[in-house]
Amino acid sequence: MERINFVISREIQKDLNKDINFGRAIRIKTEVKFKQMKSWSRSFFAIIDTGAYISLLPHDVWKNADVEIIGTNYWLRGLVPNSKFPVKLGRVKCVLLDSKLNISDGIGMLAFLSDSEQMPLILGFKDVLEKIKMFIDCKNNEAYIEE
Amino acid sequence: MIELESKRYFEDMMWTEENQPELSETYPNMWIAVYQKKVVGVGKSISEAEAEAKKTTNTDIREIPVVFIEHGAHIYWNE
Repeated sequence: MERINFVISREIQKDLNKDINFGRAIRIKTEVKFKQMKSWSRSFFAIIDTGAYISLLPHDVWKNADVEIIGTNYWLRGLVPNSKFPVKLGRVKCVLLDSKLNISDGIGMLAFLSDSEQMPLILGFKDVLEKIKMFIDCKNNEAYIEE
Repeated sequence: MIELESKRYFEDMMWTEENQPELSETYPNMWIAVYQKKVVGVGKSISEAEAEAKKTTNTDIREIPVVFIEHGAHIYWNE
């Protein structure tokens, strides 16, 4: 059984520490590559987001991928009212990997494909987190998946 | 065949994690490219950061991690 280790990222967000000692903002991250027509992409650092029902890919991440566009009439919104940007719905294939060069099997997934660049790459549940056994123990600085 | 990155690539990647507070102040919501524990490219997109890194280092761009430096709280959802 292949284990892929995640990175437990502990970020300092100064605005959160303005009024209280918020401490570190924790995130789980992984390396991911996407299938292209003839090879695989470079590695990208992605956020593992258990609050996201689907993955979100910035434009530069999916533009050279072997992608099947399924739909175009979708909008992604933020906290600011009336602020939204368009996304496409598409199918791509990826692998997850870690610094010890462990690598997962290929994962075909549906994802939102953004035309914007100024956002992180987010891996959500659809076809990805819903299909893997994931272990997260922030207290002991351990997070991984096992296929 | 999937080509995997070098040990140095992952060391540079972890350097961005260790230096996130400073990077977040200097490059908020930008993509940065890091080579040998130095920022060698900055841009509003991965390709912008990659292009600058390529000029600066003359190294295979796949061996240079490019990371989004998120600053502040962001929530993305679908309408």
